[in-house]
Amino acid sequence: MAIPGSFAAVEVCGIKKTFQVKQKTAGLRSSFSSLVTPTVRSVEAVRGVDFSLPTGEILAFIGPNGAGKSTMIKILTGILHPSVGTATVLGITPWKDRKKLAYQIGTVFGQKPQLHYHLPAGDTFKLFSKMYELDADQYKNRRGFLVEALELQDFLKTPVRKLSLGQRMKCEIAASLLHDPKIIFLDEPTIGLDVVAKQQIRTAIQTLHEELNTTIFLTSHDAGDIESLCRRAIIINHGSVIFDDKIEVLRKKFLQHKVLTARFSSPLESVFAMAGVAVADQTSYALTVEFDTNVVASELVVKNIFDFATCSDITISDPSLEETIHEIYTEKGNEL
Amino acid sequence: MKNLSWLTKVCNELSFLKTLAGVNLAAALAYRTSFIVQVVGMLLNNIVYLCFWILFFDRFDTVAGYEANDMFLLFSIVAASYGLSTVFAGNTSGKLAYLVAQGRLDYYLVLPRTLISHIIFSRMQLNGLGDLLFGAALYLTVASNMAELATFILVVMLSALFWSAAMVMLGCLAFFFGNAQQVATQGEGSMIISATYPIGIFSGTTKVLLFTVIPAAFVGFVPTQVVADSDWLLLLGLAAAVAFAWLFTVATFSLGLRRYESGSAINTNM
Repeated sequence: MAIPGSFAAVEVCGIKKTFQVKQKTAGLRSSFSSLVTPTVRSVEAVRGVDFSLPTGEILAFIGPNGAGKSTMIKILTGILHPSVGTATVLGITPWKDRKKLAYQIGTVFGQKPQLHYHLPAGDTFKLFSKMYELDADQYKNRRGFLVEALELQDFLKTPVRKLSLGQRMKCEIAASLLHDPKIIFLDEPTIGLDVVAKQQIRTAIQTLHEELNTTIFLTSHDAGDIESLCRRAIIINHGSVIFDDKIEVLRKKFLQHKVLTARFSSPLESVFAMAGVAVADQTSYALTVEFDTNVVASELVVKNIFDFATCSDITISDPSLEETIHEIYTEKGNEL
Repeated sequence: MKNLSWLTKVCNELSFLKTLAGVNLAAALAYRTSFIVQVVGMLLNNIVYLCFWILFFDRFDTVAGYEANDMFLLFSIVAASYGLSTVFAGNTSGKLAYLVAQGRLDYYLVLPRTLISHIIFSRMQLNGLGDLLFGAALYLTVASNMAELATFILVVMLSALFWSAAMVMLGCLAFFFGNAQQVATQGEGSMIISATYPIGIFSGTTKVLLFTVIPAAFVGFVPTQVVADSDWLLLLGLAAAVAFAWLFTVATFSLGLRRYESGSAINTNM
């Protein structure tokens, strides 16, 4: 039996994936000419990725749209074959032994629900118990635990189409954990959720990780997901890994930059000024400022804005992933 | 994963497929009116087609050697077997081609079941229930004895297996051609039309096509001959054709799956 922490749940070595993509310029003439002489271009979605994920760890695998995250997840779950390279998940090569691996992993794709849309989640749970060949006692115990841990009692008998996105995602996570997987792949589990639902999902994932020591491979665009759940992050861009380190390093170096937007109920009479804070935009009723939390605390900026004028709404956001990636490239450029 | 015997694995697969059929039926019954309209609509559609043949045989005694009872037997076998196939294995032909072309096999690929059976049994075509009921009822009007009824049930099951193999094969075209939904649907239509006419009306080359490229003979002519003549050798031939069709289909599906490229479409599991 593997000792937690001593065994790599995922090992990836030199994985590359190239797709053949048909090219066509706009217009009917081009459509006809591509019938006779189709133009095909090779697109490298993943360009030699290497990493290892120890058992019991929560890894954030992040990157902008088209970076290669989903392709990597699809390779690790046996959906796609890589063009080059090797990978093992729990000691199994995913694309060679898909079925054997599927018994031991769970997947939640935020945009590809597993639950039957017209039926209550309980019906899908029952189907999944047969799918994973759980005996009646195993199923009953496991379902009971998940219903309690994820607080599903109130909507378990409601058709999925009538559930809120947050409730649905909780049921998706429960369905993917019914068979007690050793590793779970979460692809954008909080996509489209409101702040409250996001927090509920994060708490649920955290609770399940603490109780079951399940290895979690998480992709997300939401810096909040990453900061509250993960200890390590890998950032991928254009198919290559550009950052692989602890979350503290990412936070300290790149996630300290905040953007604050405030709206006011009366017109502003002067220009906002504060040491360590840059005004990005100011109009009669709105103000956007940027600051580094290493230099000035968020609370202090908020207090100064409340003192500056009568504030009706205020939002603090993280820099976008694109900005963070830009910063990482800048940092790397400076190091070279 | 548990080490299971071959028999246990088969039992587990059947138990899973039974639960899957139950879930599909429950999902279908969630919309009662739609369910009734689809089933009754297909029954009426078949009745109109039957009326045409009743009028025809009112004026003529035979067509290509088929009398009215032979024609009704042929139609009952084609309708019942096609209905049995599509009511349980509904994700075939154009629907399978759509799933492949849209990259929607991901859902099935991350789950630990036999891929083809999981995909095709994941959807019920409710109008198939209308075909199945119609075929069974029509057969009862021409049935002669219990032994023949047993043969009818057997050939309907074998023909349904052949229908499924042929329609999965049509869906597999999407692995090689990309968007093959229309081609697959047209192929299915060609098989239905070709199967519901007496084979005697077709000439040499067309007859060869009906045993090969559009293998409608294995769901129409052959099973009808088995029931009408109690031809056990032909029954064995039909069983062999079903086995060959499935071997060919599974091999094509496996080959096609290597070309599968997934996709980023947003899915809903209906």
